[in-house]
Amino acid sequence: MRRLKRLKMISPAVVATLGCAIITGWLVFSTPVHGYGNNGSFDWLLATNGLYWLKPSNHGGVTSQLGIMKYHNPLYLSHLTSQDLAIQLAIWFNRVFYSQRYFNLEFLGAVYLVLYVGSIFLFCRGLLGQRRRLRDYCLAGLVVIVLADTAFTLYFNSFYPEALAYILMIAVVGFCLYYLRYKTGNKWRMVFFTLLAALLLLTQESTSLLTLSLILMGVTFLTRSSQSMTVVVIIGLLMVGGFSANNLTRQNQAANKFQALSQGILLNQRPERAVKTANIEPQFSLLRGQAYFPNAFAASLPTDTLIQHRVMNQYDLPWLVMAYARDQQQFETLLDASATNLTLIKRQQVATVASGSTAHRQSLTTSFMLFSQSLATFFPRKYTFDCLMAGIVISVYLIDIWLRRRHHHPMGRGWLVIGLMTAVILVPVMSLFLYGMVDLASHLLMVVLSLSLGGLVLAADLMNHRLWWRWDR
Amino acid sequence: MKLIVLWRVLLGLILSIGVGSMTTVANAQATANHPANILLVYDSQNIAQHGDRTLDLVQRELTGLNLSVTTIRLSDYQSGMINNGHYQGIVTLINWPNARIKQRAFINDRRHFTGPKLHIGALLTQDEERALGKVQSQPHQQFQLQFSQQKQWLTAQKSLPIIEKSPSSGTQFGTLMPQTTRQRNLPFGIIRHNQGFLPIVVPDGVAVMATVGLMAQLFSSDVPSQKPLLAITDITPYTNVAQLHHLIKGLVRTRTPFALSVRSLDHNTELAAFYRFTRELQYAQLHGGVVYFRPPLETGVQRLTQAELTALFRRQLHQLREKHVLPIGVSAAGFWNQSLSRQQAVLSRGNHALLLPNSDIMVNAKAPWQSSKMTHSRVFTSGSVGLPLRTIETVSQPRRLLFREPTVLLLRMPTSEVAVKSALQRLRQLNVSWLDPANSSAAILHVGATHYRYEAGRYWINGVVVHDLGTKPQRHVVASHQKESTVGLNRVIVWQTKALMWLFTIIGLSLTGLLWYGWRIQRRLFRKQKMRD
Repeated sequence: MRRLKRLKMISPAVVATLGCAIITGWLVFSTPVHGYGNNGSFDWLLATNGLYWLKPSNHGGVTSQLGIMKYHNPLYLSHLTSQDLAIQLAIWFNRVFYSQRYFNLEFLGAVYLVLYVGSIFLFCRGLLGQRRRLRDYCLAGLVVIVLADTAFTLYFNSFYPEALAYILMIAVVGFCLYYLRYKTGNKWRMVFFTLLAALLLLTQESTSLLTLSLILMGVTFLTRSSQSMTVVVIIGLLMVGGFSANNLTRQNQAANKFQALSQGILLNQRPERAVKTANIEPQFSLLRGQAYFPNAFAASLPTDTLIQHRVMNQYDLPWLVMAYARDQQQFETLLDASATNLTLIKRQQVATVASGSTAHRQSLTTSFMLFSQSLATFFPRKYTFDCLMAGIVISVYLIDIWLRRRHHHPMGRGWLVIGLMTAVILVPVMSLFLYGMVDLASHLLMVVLSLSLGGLVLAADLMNHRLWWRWDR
Repeated sequence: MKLIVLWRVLLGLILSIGVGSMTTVANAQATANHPANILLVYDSQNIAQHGDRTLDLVQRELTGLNLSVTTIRLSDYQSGMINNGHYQGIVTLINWPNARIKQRAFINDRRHFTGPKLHIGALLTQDEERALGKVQSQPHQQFQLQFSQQKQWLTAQKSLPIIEKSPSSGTQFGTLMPQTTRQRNLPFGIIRHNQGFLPIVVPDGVAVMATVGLMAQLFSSDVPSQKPLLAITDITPYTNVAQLHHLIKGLVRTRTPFALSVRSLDHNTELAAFYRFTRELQYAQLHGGVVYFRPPLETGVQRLTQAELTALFRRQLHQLREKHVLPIGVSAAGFWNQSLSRQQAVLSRGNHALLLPNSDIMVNAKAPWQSSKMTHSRVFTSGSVGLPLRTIETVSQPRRLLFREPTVLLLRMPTSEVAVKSALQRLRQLNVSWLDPANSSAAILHVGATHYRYEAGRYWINGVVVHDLGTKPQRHVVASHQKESTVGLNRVIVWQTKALMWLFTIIGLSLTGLLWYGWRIQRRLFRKQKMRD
């Protein structure tokens, strides 16, 4: 008992942060390098950040040594995202401490690690506070199991924008929780939240789907602000979200549009039915499943003028939405398919260990994956289930909000969780409309993270009996 | 009644003559088991001025003459290469005269070589000029080329190297006629003893005829002259079926035999759209058309290995065969015949090949055919050279076109109803007498364990005549909902999913009920308070 008391010298928030830091630090700095391999999307990112492959890129293992471009690079930072800021910071540290010519991937991992540990600490302090009961330590353990899962943190040693999106999402939620617990915010709290949210929206085009969720989360801060401030923040976040959604090369926009058709609405036993309603010739139903950049061979390229004229110019987003509305069974099937992929957090089909190591080329890191593995195994694979669950959680928190207002209690975590659950409901649908069934691991990562964070907050509230006006009884 | 008998006799006579002539052709080709090997040495691809097209055309023309071509760049040539008796002829192609790329070892070896030699383009060496005559550069102007009663204005308008004095003992191939009458006519191609000269190689109908005529005589090829074949290219499963049908119908109505160069798919073949597409090809097969299989477009950063390409080829052909579409050969761009893996995976499977022009490449892009320094082309029983149809549209008498090598005139599949009409109109105006593929030698395609054969308008598979060519293939109907396989743990999870859904629905409903109930209690309290007030 005394030993237990001695253990309680350290607060649960620090325990959780240390746990996450040690596990992730080991992952980032262990040799051979652990990270996710290139799926073909790194090349553009490297070019715009002034890096290059020292050896021809292999679409398999993780490459830890890269070259830093020496001469003028016309592409340098030509498509600015917030991920570029992190990469540039890593390159700067690399130049100072390591080399002017070679870039070591672990510097990027280190930058992410520092940001990650900071946001985890913010999150834990917000969630757990300073109390040191046994249940707080249990919650801390839960936080470590969920947020230090290797499936998430393997992103740190790679150029996928998911790494920064993951960190920023934890930071945004952590900041909300921290504010709600300590109410220390001055007038800058709103600005800081908006800044974090804008950075999150700008990491890549698919995080812009979180705009609505972030606005809902922002309601936490809005109650005491002036109305004009509210309007400015909402419009600002909407504009940033809109900008980020279109911050793409023309080619990638065309690819998204094409694949929303070929790998979305056409993924059907009778693709002709869908095509008929647009002015697309029925023969083009054979485009089902075709990628915009085919891997090795194709009967005809999507960039071909014929397909550009006869297919690409014949439909737009409203038509796609209407087509799904007409064929609801198809809509449900695809959403269930994406719900199945939702729980497979880990990026499939890319290696996670440095190439050239003694390990097998496709060898996959499996340490510390309790959360992601059990999620992949036991979580129901139905979109309706996700919606039901999110709906119930939302209604629970709506009642909480209503009761608090009635009894003039201070603001609870209601809007935060509602924002997170809105992402669970809306993002799969929007991602289906905008990108089809392509790269679900990337587009739906924020959904599974929202689900996890919302679950953690709900668990904390339930354990502390904080829901439904029992907070300070 | 008597008339019918007479017709039958006539028909029998014609058929027997046809078969007789065919067997002689087959015999002639059988004797040429070991085709002459020609070394083609070029100075540069000169991609900026589309010199790669010239190189491709020369390679295909030689292949069409049943000559095996080994291609090497001048700078990669190593001393002694031609002296080991492996080659029966040499072609020197100067693609970029301004660069003046020379190599002493090659010039020496060529001088000592006793077999037939052909020089294309400028920059003749002294010993070549001694043998052929003095070369003078003709200034920039357009010429009309005349060869075997055909005339055509050449599209190329650049200065040509011309051997002015026609040597008495030489043979002339084609006459260049200048625009003004003041100037004399000039010789185009020249053969003197065992040396040949061509000022230029261009894909213009008459120029091709003259070039190939010269090559055939110089390298003594025994391929008989024949009429051109019409081929519709760029047909994919995405092609508008109605337009394709109109085009084929128009061709059938004018009794024009034709070939279709078709790309296929290896997935989505169970869809109705693919079925419609193959029905159209079936219709063409039954009405005097033949189908040439065209391998898919290579794209992206990855290239298929030979094994993968073979598997893909087999898969696509199998899909077509299931729909009763039987290709008689392969049509592919010229570079497919230059790269070993593509050649062995696809082209080596058949004896009839349609060699299409290479597509353009960008100046700095790496061409797909630059895989090795030295490339060897494969020889086919009928390696047809594909020329765009427009190259013969300016010929003076298209009706009497006769090519020395198997030639296929290519018409791109029109992309609109109007374009189909105008294409048919164009063909009618040209009035070429076309080759009927049913009259050429047997086409054999050997894929996996299947042996396809096409001869005299009939198809064989593994030695059995195909009778059901016109019957509707059975459509493989897919169940609208494929059931997920439920095994072991998966079944538990499916069950768990359902149970959880029910659980959550019940919780949700009871919560709503409670909420409503609570609201009523609250309201009652409020009312009582109000009443007390």
